[in-house]
Amino acid sequence: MNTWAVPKNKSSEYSDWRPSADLDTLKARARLLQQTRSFFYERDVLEVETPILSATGSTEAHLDFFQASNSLNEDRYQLIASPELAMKRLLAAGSGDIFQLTKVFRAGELGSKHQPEFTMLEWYRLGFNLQALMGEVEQLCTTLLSDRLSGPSRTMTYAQAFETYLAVDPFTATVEKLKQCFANHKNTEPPQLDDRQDYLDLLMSHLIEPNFNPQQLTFVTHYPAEQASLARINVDDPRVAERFEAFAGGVELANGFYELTDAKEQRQRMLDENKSRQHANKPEIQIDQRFLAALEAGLPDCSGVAVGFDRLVMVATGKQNIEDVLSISFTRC
Amino acid sequence: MASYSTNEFRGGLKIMIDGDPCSIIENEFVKPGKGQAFNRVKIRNLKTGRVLEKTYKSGESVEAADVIDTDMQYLYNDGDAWYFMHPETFEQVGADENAVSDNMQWLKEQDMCVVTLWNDVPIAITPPNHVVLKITETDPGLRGDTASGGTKPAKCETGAVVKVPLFLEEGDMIKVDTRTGEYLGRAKE
Repeated sequence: MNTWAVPKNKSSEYSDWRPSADLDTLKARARLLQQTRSFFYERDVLEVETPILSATGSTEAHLDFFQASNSLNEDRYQLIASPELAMKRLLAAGSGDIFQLTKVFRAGELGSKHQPEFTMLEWYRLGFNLQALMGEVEQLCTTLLSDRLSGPSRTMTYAQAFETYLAVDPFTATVEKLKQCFANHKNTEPPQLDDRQDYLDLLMSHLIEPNFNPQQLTFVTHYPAEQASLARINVDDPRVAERFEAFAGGVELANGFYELTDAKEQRQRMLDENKSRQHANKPEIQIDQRFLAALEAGLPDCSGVAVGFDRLVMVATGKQNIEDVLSISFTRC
Repeated sequence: MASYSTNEFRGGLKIMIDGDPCSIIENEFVKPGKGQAFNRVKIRNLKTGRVLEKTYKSGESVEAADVIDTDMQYLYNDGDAWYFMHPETFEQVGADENAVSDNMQWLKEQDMCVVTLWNDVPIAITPPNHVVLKITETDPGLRGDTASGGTKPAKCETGAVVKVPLFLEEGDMIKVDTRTGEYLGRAKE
C-alpha cells in the first residue's frame, strides 16, 4: 500500500497527529538512506555515530542553539548544530575515512527549506583536495538524483558568480555598492545588516542562487576568506578560502572544506566568532578544548563535506517543502 | 508601540512599512548554511492594494499595524463618502473614495461588507463575494435565446457593467461574482 489509511473518525483538535510526508515519500527516503550507506560502504568509508549532546558546542556566528538540561542536576548541554568537531576528534585519533548520518539542531530555522531538527550527511576523506571531494559529491548526486539531474555539473568561483549575475566584484565592492546593487535589482531597500559579509550573503541568497539551473548540480568555489569557517585559506590567494558549496533543485545542498588543521589559527577563529556573536547579542559559547587538543595532536590532511539529507530527498522526490519529506515535522513534534 | 519579531511573521499579519499598513501574504525564511538569516516577505499595501516584496534581517522587530477587519452594513453614499454601520453597536464610519475605489460599483444598500479599519479609519472595503443586482440599462432582450451563448453589456443599479446573456432584460435581477465581475446567473429578488 502506498498511501496512508483514511482515518475513520475525524478528530478536530489534534488532526495533525498524522505524518507530514506521504507513504510513498517515506519509502523513497528509506531507499535513499540505503543507497547513501551503500555508496560509502562500497568505498570503504567507515560509518560512525557521534553524540548529539555536547558539553560545549559550536561557536558559529550565525547559529542559534537548543539546550538540553539534565533534570538531575544543573548540567547543561548544547544539542549539536553539526557533528564536525566530534568527527574531527575521530580523524585525529586515526579513524581514517568516515561518514555519518545524524540529526542536528538549529534554533529559529523554520521555513520551506529549513527545519530546526534535520538530518545531516557528513563525511571526511583523507588526502582528498577540494577538487577530489567535489568529484565525490557529484558521484553521490548522480547516484541518488539521476532522475532529476541532466548533464554534467557546473563549477564557478564566488567571484565569477557575482560577476556573471550582478557585475559586482565581491572582494572590492563597498557596502554602499552592495546595498545599491540589491536596491537596483529588487526595487526595494535592503535590510540594515551588521557587516559587509552579511550583504554578500544577502546578494548570494536573493539574487545569485535563484539563477542556478535546478536540473544541474552547481558548485561555487573560492569563498571569501572571511567566510572560511573551518576551511583553510588558499595558499596562493589569501583573499579566498578552500571552501565550496553545491546547489541543485533550487536548494543549497552541500558545504565542503579543505579542512583547517592548524590549532592556533582554529582557536583564533573561534575567539573571533564569539566576538561576532557578542556583537549580534548572541550568547558566547565555551570553546571546545577537546577539539582543539585533537587538532594539536594532529588532524590528518583531509577534506570534508556536509549535505542536508532532507534536501537531497526533496530534490530526489521533487517536493518543494521540507515538511513533505519528514515522517513528522517540527510543528507536529 | 506594539511590534512583531520576524519569527512571528505569518500570512495575514499586519505590519507597518514605510508609514503604510501592510498585510503579509507570504513569509519565506532564507539562510545560507553558514551565513546571515533573512525573512523574505510578500506583502500587500492595504492602502494602495499593491503587492511588493521586502527582506528583513531575521530577528529584527517590525512595528505592528493597528488594522482590523470588521463586518459592517453599507448604508448610503452622500457624494463624498460611503457610510457603513456596525450591526451591533450601530456605530457608523464614512469611507472615502480611496478606500472604496473600484469596489464602489458593487455596493448595494444594506449588503454586509468587510471594512478594513486602520487606527479606526476605513482604508479598504471588501464587498460580499456574490451580490444580487437589478439591471437598469441594456439592449432589448432576445426572448427565448438561451442557447446561442452570446453576451451583451448590462448596466446595474450600482453602476457596474456586467456581461450578461442576450435573453436578459431591464428590471431582471442577476447574481454577480464581485471578485471577477462575472455574471453567475439569474436571481430572484
